[in-house]
Amino acid sequence: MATDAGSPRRRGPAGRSAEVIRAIVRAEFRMLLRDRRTVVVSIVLPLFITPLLMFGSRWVQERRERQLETAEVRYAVGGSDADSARSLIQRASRPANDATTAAVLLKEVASDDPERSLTDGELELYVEALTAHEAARRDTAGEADSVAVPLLVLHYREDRDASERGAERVKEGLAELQRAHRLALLESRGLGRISEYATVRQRNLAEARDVAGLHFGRYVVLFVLLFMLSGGSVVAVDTLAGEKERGTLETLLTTAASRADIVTAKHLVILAVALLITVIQSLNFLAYVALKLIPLPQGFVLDVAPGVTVLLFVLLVPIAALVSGVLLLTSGYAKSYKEAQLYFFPVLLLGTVPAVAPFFPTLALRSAVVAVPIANIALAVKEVLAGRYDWPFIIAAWVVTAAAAWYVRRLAEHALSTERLIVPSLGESAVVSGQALFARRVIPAFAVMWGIFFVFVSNVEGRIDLRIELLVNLVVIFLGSSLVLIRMHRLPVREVFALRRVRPAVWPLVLIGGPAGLVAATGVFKLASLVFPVPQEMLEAFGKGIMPEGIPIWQLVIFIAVLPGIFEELTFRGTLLYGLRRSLHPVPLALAVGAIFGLFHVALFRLLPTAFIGVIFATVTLLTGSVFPAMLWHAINNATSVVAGHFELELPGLEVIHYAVAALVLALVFVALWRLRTPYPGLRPRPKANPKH
Amino acid sequence: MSEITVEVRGLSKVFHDESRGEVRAVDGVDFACRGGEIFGLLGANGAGKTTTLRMLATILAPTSGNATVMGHSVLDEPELVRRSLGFYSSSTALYPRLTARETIEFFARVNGFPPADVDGRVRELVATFGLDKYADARVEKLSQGMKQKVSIARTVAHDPPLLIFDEPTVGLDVLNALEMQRVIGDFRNRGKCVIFSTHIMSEAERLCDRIAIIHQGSILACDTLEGLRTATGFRYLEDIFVHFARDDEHGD
Amino acid sequence: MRNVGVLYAREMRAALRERSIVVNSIVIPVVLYPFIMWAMFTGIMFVRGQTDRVASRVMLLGVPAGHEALTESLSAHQVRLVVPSDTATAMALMEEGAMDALVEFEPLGLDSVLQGAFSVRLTGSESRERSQNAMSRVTTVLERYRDDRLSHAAGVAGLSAREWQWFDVETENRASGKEMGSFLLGLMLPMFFLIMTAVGCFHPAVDATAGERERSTWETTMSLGVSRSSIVTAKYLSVATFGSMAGLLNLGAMTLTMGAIVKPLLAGRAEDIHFVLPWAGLPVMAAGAVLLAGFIAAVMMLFASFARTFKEGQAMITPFYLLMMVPAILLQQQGLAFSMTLALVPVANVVMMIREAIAGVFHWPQIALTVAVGLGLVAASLRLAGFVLRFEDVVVGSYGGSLTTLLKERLRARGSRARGGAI
Repeated sequence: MATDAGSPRRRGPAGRSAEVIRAIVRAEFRMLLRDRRTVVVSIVLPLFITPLLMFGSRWVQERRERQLETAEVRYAVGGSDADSARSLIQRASRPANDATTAAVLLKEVASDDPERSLTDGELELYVEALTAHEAARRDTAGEADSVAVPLLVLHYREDRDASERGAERVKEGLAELQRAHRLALLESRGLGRISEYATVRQRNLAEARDVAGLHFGRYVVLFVLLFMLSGGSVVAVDTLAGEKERGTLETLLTTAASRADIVTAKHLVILAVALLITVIQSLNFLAYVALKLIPLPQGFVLDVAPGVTVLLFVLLVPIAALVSGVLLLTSGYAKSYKEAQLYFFPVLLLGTVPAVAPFFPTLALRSAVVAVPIANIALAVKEVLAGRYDWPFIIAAWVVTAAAAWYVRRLAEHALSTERLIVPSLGESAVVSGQALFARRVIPAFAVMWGIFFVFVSNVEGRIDLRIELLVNLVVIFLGSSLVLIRMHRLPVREVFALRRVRPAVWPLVLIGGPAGLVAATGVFKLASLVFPVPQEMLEAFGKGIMPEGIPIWQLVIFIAVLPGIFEELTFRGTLLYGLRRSLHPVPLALAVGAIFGLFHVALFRLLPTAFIGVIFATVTLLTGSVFPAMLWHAINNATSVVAGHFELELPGLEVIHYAVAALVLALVFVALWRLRTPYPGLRPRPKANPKH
Repeated sequence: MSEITVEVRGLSKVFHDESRGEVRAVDGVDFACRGGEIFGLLGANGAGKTTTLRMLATILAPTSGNATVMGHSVLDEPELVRRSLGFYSSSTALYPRLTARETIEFFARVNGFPPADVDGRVRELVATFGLDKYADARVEKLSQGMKQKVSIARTVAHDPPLLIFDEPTVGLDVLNALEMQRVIGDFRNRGKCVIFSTHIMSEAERLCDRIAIIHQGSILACDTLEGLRTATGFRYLEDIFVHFARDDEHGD
Repeated sequence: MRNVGVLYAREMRAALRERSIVVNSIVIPVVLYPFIMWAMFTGIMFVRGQTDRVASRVMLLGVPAGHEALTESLSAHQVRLVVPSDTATAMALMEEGAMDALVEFEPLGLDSVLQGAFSVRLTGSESRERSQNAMSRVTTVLERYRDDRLSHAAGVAGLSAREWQWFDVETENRASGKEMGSFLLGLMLPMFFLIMTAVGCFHPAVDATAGERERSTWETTMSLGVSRSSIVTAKYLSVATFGSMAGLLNLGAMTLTMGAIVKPLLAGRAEDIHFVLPWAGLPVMAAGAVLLAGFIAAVMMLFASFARTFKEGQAMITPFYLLMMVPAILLQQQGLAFSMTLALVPVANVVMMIREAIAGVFHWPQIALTVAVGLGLVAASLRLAGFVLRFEDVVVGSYGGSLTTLLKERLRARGSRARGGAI
């Protein structure tokens, strides 16, 4: 073989990888720096804009505060006891020397019709003065033992700042006046130190540094994450999706660089940019603080030791790796620059969710949260800044998040080996109609349906009869949209709704599985509330919603168990499942159908249990190929909870053993269903393993 | 003749399509070619040429069958396969914000050209393709013809024994297309094995030592132009192509 | 005019089939923002509820006899009492994080007149949230207890209840449920409206200019057998349509979902507050949407028409887009009156006008001035576009700079020519 430069010498694979990665990283940086406009707009501009916006909104807020503080409160006094009220208000507006509140600027305005003047905005406050006698008459419905004293009614408007604030301050002044009056009375009766009775002197054990650290520590990871996501995305969007669009990815894939090397190189570039932007933004903010453009609260001592700074940086590295990995992955899944951008917003939203963990005051790193990537580091950072070092858990948090980053990197590599994703023209038919079009539209259609449902429920709840509300939801919104979709895409009704016969042996299994599933779901719900305790008020509201008074139990069973069993199943395990059956493999399919079902229960704390139940229904439908068993299961499930509620049997109050037994029964039912399975037709085949690259 | 550079055995590719279901884009293709030879894949759009070549370049994985390049299998040693080949097509673009010189250097390094020799290789290629004046201008600023030269230079940056040209003349004007043909001929003369796909009959007639006619994923005939003429009795490649394509459809 | 209509319909159809436009100009304003707000407020509620539920671990040291009511009240406020020992142990427990606060009772020495009077020293650590929480619970309970004890002392001292009470105060909110609703809507919606209008214009503006160049359909469009100005007008109208649509849709969607969004915050008051837009305000809102979108669309298209790729177009528009956020921030001020001066400030005046329309307030002179300013701005930006489109190289897409470089270059060229003529 004749070549003009001789055959290339072989080098060790590790050395070769390093060489390739270095070449790609260098080229990427070169190209990034040469794209001046993007660098300026997406990296330099935010450096100035973000602090300026913060400064601006702070300035506006402070100005408003000052204005309200110094604004004159125009008031009028009316009623039969006007004179004494006037003197009280004047005394209340001039606080005693030792009072903590500042003077209120009051100006009395004469008005013939003060109520009208208040409405017209000529007054901020109208004080109606009632004599003791009038007050007692007015208070007939009130407690019998209350003492008859003169009454001041402060009329104000909550929809006007100045009015609300004025009323509030006058009320405070009056309360202060009353307190002083009472102490003076007691002291005059020889009770010398009575003013100290039951007073509290606070002693704070924490150092000012740790207190500031706690406040500041809540925000650190959230802000850093936002910087990383927005800065990293500039490179990420361009790096795989942009290369696909320009056709350079194919060029790169025909080179000897392995896909792992390409992913590593690109990951490193995004990581470097993300870290760089974080460092620059942090310095930038410190500079603004030093220049007093962003004021710190009084007594705020932010004093971070150099060792702690290093520790914080070390803690943030796995987050940066994870964030850049996720960005790379999204870019890898998008076919074009525009598409990648489209995914960015949802990624930003979902990505920042775990970073709010430090805002939960009772969440400690020493808990199950340590297994949640990002959230664990966010908590660790807060605790470190507040002066607590829980080393084993800090290390565990680091390892967990780093492992997540590694896993995401592997997924990105997988995306680069997925042919449909790297060769843009593959797998997409030019002309799509009927069923295939329906598959693409089913998610948006359900999103629209969710919107209609949400708007309907939130504007109607508690204002109309529950039965009518349920009927509209089930028949008009759920079934109606399904039928519209079926008509629009000319789909076969029987198949969409999976109206198929099942083996008789399935029915007894469903009868056993229904109650077991409900108890197991309650267990899941309790498990979830261990990590995120549910507010008591919400639990009560839930009970009220499902157990309305004045509806007989047989009607409840129909409206809450039978009808939802039919219509919700037709919609979710019928239409939705049918629409998604080719887009997802069976397991993710069941999970997705369950999760979407959960979202339709518009309450954060019901999401998990209903999603769990939804996954069960979807699995049953997939295993039996028919919607009927899921319908029965659903009806039994809901009926059980209605009946349990009726007889005040509290499912969440059961022992752990009950949940365990229920879970076991549920598992056995599924084993049996698996044995008897007559699978749902036309599912997406299992993915084939890809040969190595 | 020199040793076999590429050997393709029973190569097939099946795609899943949203509305059409399974599509056999390439269906049991066999061929082999050697150094110093231009092997032409001739077929209409969508015949499976690009898919075959992409499998050879290991961008796509074959559903069944195998291919070897310089003795390395595309299934087991994809990196060594890619190191032995240069892939050029109208869809393999260049990085717009790198200069011509940086582009060539980048591809030489990524393809594992000995680092110590990279600078010399880049200088050599810049001279060979007459890029001296434009070597330090960004690729986005270059004219179409210049870009084409840089593209070819990056394809051969690591001096591979096999060169794949997938419809290289699509969208080129006459002068640039002729230049392309001249360069491809040159590579053959220097002993490279060149695989060249096209749907333009005259190009295949003029350049190829052997021609494979590919239609609906299968190779219908594979021979020298003379051999094809004798087998069919037609003089022009157009007629020969239509003859085979029609036969195939009647056979279905 | 018919041409413009046909071209407009084509632009709209094409844009409605582009996924990124549909998502950014329709889905995000209608679905995503209400959803985010709902999730955010529910989340806040969550945090609050969760904090309420966690018990505070507090040690009481030296409680004088006769104050059982205090310990009962503490237990009722989620305070769990730790078995009392001594100060040193308590400090150690707090250090470990096993206890949240220490309450030490000190006698006041009033026993001759008033049995068991005390003051309290409360120790905790402000760097721990549970401790902060415990301290505030103890303080609240003690404040209430203090009032109780003082009125008890008044009884002991022989003061009459009337003397002690002196007077009563009540407050009464005179704003109706509907007025409260429009107040709360007015706080948030105008900002969203501005941002959504900008978001709604953004993608269509880039797509109709730079996007066409990138897909290389620009020349096809420019070579149609109609005047260039009708093409540009049709494009402009379609972009403005998307902007005003996004703004109005968001307004509608937020109003419809506001009840559900703020429900957790309003606790029991949710039923008293009605979120409705006044019908009379709709024409003003629509006018505001058209003016705002008309201006934003014109400027965005001006910037983006210099770009050759989608990405470049985005980069050219982004600074203007960020600039739009500034009035949004400054207008957060609630007490701001819609003065004639404010009516002269572009963008801000429209936002003020819409805020007032939501509340059902109409200052007609200001509205008239706002409309005049808005129309003037739209006319000015269209004239500028007309000026720019006179340059062949800009139209064809071979010009490499941006709007600012073009204006600098060509205006200077004009100026020097004029000067040259004078000499």
